[in-house]
Amino acid sequence: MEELLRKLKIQSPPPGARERVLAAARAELQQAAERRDWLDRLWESRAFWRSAAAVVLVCLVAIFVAPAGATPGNAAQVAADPIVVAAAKELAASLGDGPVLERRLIAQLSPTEAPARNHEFFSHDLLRSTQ
Amino acid sequence: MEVIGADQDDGASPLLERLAEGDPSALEMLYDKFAPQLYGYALGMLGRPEAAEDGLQELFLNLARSRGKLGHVRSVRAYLFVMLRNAIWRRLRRNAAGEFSVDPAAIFQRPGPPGLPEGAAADIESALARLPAEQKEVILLKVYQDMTFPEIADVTGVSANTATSRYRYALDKLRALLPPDLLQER
Repeated sequence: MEELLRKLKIQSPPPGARERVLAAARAELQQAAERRDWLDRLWESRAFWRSAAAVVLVCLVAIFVAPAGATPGNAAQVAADPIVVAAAKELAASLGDGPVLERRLIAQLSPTEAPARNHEFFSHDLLRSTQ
Repeated sequence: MEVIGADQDDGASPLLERLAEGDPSALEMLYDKFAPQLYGYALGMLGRPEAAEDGLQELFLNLARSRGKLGHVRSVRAYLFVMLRNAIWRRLRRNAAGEFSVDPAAIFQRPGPPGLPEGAAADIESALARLPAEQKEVILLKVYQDMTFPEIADVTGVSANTATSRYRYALDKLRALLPPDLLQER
């Protein structure tokens, strides 16, 4: 039985198949290389790491300072620190929440004249120390 | 994925290394070395030249995508068959929903070899088409790709004993399906 089956030969790939298959694979290879280049550039970018560190820091501060304490009213008492403003802008832009979140972050991260909680000072000093 | 021992290395590993470095000529050399056998397997399983070519293309696209993860491959041939098998079975499962119809007349070269009656190829194609896919697969890998049962087991993900059993069942079914005069011819 096996001998009978072996007498027959399976067809070869049709003409043109080689070019079609390889053209698609080469295009995929090229795209993969471009994606890798982009990721490599991002990975090596100092701005990327600075931004990431700033975002993480602001997130941590926002989590720990969070809703209690500072309010927009408090922020009005003292001009916001440019560092806080920059960090808040960056975070708000990255989250896509725009000016509302930015104002809230500035309010929460800015010290008041008579701060109620020590960790607000801590967060402010921590931000400054990283610059 | 563990595919076949180092003693089965087919000497194509440097091609994968070149592919991992992004060398497109490695794809071409892999195609030239393996495409005829891979296409034959895909054609036997899927029955249609277009479907077989699509399967082959999917395989080479996956190769290009996963080029950085090929360091563990010990037998390039077995690895390619496993990747192609995955593509084929995805198509077969889709085909269960009627994506395409299998044309059993497209598998073997025509005209057939001298000594075989006219129509023998068509009879065998028709009989193969009536086998369960798992059994047809073992026939294609054993008879037309010259794989051993351990190699077939590695490619299909079953034990060598299961592969052997499937082969025996397949031969028995083919004997029952083929015209008696064709079996007496040999």
